Amino acid sequence: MKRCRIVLVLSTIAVVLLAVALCRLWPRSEPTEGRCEVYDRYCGDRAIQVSYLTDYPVNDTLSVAATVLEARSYSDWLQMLEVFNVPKELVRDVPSGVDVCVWQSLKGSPEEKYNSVMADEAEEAVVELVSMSFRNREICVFHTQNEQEYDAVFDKRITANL
Amino acid sequence: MQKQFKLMALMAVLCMATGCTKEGDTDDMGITVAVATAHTVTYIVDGRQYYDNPQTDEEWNAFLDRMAALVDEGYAVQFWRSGLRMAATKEKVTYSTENLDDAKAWCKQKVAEGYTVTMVFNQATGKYDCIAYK
Repeated sequence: MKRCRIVLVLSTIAVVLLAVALCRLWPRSEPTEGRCEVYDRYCGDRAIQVSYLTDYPVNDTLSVAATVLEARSYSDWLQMLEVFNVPKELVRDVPSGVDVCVWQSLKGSPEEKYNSVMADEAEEAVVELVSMSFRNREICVFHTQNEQEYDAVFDKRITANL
Repeated sequence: MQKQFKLMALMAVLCMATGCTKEGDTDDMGITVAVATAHTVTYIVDGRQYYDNPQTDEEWNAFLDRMAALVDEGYAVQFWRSGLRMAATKEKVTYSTENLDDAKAWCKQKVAEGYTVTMVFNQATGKYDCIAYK
């Protein structure tokens, strides 16, 4: 009887550990409608937890698709800052209250800032807004479809520090 | 073509007369001139120093036109590229205002120009501090 109880307890612990491991290793949600370039690029990276959200709430009436990249550890976060070319001046300002910052990039390339003012093909380019939070160690790529969505997301993220 | 040749000759003469500026040279204000990043130009007209920041070929040609015009009018002109001072400014630019809409508009413009932008509220001044990094 005592042996059965021990086996039962150990089995339960093993099942729980397995479930936790699966949850951490498995992406939070997989894109159901088509594949997202950014998601595909980072889903195999052990340093980053990737999630694709089809309905990220922007305001009472609007939600957009977004890919969220979260660093799993502080050292992973430092590596992400390098990959995403975060200006060193910005990192130095974080202790003085800077948390959320935003930039824009071409679709599929959130690592590079895009200058739509100087670009020749700015009118045809599909631009996405990228937001970063030092506190949450996450970078969020908003897959906006039009100017209205872009403006709404920009409004929400640029005021996040206030 | 003639104008281009004239400008090239002007630059060559100026270079020979004044000595082409090399990294480590100092200008009239004792500031070390470094031929570092592109764009920023320092120029001296009649002993007074100015800065310009031509970014495209058109802007650079317009700048050269202005220098040639000044020489035509009889002014003594020296100019050279000196990116160091402007490079620091290009790394981080700031804007402060009490008006939230103005702050957001400035931030949006900077994002469109390829900057990484953040905005915080400064309790001490009551203003929105906008910071753009490149």
